[in-house]
Amino acid sequence: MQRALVTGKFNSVRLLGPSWLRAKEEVIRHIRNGNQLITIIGRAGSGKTTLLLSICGELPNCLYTDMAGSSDRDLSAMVASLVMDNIEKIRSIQETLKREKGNLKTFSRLGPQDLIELARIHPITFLGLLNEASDRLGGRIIIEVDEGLLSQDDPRAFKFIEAMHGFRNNMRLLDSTHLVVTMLPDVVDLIAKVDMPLFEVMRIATVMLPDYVGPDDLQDIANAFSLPMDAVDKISRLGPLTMRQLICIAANLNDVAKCGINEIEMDVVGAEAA
Amino acid sequence: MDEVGLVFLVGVLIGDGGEGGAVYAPYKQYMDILSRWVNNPEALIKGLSEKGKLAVQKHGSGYRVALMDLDAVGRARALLMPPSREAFVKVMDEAIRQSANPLTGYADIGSVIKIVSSKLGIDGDDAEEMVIKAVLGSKSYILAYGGSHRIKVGSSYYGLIKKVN
Repeated sequence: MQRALVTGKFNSVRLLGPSWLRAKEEVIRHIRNGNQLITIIGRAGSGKTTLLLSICGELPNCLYTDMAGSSDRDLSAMVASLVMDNIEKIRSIQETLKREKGNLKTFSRLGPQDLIELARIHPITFLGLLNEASDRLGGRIIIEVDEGLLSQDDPRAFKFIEAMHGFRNNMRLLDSTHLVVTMLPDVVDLIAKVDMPLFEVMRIATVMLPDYVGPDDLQDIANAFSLPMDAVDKISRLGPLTMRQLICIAANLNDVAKCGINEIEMDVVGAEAA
Repeated sequence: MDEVGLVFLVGVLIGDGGEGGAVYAPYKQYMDILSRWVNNPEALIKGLSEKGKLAVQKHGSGYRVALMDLDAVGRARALLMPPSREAFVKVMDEAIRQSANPLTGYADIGSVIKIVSSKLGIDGDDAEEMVIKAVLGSKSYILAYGGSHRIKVGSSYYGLIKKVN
């Protein structure tokens, strides 16, 4: 569960690797182009969460939520999880609405429990108010939903698909709101098989993360972690590595077993290089 | 191998390929060989003929057996001449390309096995075994969870496959 990674005042995420930086630019470009449903696809360990957090660290009014701990996957659960993970940010949006009238004024006065309750019972109304608030502020609301579905075999898969439709069907009402979701390849495969209309909508704005790090990415990470040349050489000979594996190795050069890499393998590679 | 498999194997061994992949074997020679292995070849031939898998046809002054079940013919051929690793990988790569999800590039291994086994005329289990061998011996494939059919590679089960450069 990545709830602990939610960006706040005291933590930030640094995205490394030119391929990942390009992916981030692509997501931001989709948002600027007005695409409201953006999908980030990547296998486990490909850096989906880091990418989301990095985007949220850069864009204002960006709300990140991790659904892993949520028992349900419908739109109510999704929006409630969003409120719980971003209560401070929502409070600061509420602060700016105190001089407004009507619904926005009522919204600005809601306490944390009321906000969660509203999100759970009337998720579209909640999103609509947030959307209206962002219109007043002259900006956009970015909603990032991580770990929405961990596997195609999850019995809640269809609830998640319904939630996506719930958002999609209200895109006009939520015209300043952008939903960015992460998906594993098997979930995308499932949607392609069972819900072609949704799949076609997803195709409009999708960013696929690289399966493995490339040489440029390795070099960038080596610079960031100040890795010696021989270590870079050893790592590059280990074969294809996911971003998570590489970061783990870079941070634990003296204990690569932590990253699922056999130390002997690393030594053998080193001996070969010598 | 069962009796039906033997019917096609004998046909492929002594027959000639014809139009559309069917195999034609001289009736007398065919029955002579088949009767060494099968108790009642006439009944077997009749049964398969009723199912449309083969036919006994007049040919010149004699008769011939036309083996028309192309899948069974393919299996018999593959048994006699198993596809080389290179040939298999080529067909597998094409199957991955054909059934890959346009967004992810991953293909359902179940679909890949079906395409490969039908194209090469080999059994699904044999195709699965060859897919595993091809994946294990190469760094050109990425496996992921999911899909409609899982294969065991190492200690994990995977259902999606992707070809990378």
